[in-house]
Amino acid sequence: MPVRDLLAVLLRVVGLWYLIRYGAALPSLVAQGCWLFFSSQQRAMTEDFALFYGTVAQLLVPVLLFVLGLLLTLRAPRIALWFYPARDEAVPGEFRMRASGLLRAGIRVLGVYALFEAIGPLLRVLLRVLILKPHEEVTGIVISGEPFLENLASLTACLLAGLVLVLKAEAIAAWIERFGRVDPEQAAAAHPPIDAGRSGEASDS
Amino acid sequence: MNARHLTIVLARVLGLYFLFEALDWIPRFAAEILPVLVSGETLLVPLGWRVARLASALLMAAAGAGLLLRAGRLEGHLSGPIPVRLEQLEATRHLRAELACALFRILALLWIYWTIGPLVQILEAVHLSGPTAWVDPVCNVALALLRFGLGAWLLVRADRLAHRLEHDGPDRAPPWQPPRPAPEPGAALAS
Repeated sequence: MPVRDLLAVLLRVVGLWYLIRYGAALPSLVAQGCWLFFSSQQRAMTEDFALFYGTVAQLLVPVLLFVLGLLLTLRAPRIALWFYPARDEAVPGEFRMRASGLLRAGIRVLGVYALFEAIGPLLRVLLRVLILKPHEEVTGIVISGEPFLENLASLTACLLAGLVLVLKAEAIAAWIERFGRVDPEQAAAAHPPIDAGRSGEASDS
Repeated sequence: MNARHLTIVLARVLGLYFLFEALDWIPRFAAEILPVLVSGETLLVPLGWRVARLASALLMAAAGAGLLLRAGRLEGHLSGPIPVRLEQLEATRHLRAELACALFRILALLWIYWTIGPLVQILEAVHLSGPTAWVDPVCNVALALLRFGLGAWLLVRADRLAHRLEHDGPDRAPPWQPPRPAPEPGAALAS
């Protein structure tokens, strides 16, 4: 199996995971959204902003991840083609599966997962900066603080890890493979084939 | 074995994972509802949310079961009409079952390992007192037993389940066949 196909399969499985995880959460989210919407009419201006922010952040992130999961499920072969383009396959079977290919595919899948995990913090940070910041005087809600910094740190870590894993998968895999590399000749000398050993014993006797 | 066969196997494992996770909700619901039934405490969150969360759990269970049983058909829908020979599917059926069995066993071990979580929560709730203080520990014991039971069952029955799904399950991953050409209007009369 070409490594491109393996990457497509793994991306599709990640897509299915997001699809079911957040698809199943949609009834809860709808109930939560309805409750927040109907109860917001009785609240003050300050709380309305907080509610709006909370509702948008809590509803939009799962919906976005659900849509992205759907896209990943449906478009996995095309995404895999970005990493292993057909034009690069000068020789048929160029991308044939090897252990190193499996490692590269796994690293890229981890990168995609990290990028998906960055979406939640990204949206929360954007909402805070774009919606709450302009109305800071009215609401009295200050955008700095522990949750904001937590989201910012989480966003930075996920985004960086995701981009590095996706874009530098080859270099990371090559670096990992340097460790524990076994020289075939030394390995053969250390562990001779069983048949050879037996024939040696037979000749000795 | 090609990518299509691997997709079927991995989708089945993912389906079983979600099915197990949906079953986890039973003791959790009990932990939320029992205090209300026992001592008439008011619900911390509106009833509508409870119903919605129940709907979420049911949806997850249905999706998991669907994926477990109909992985072949789903794969057919996703990959499109690429012809796969029936002999090829038959030849890899045993291999797919073997791979699914190994992955089911890993899932089983994971589920047994996750028994630790609720057990730790029991120890954390020892200091609680009140008329409904027993609810949380009891529900955590139920959750731990459920996880351990499911894990142990899967560990023992993984081989049988995997082969049953591939051999005589409801989904036998039917191969795509090209549509038959429509008969010409006069062909039947001529014959």
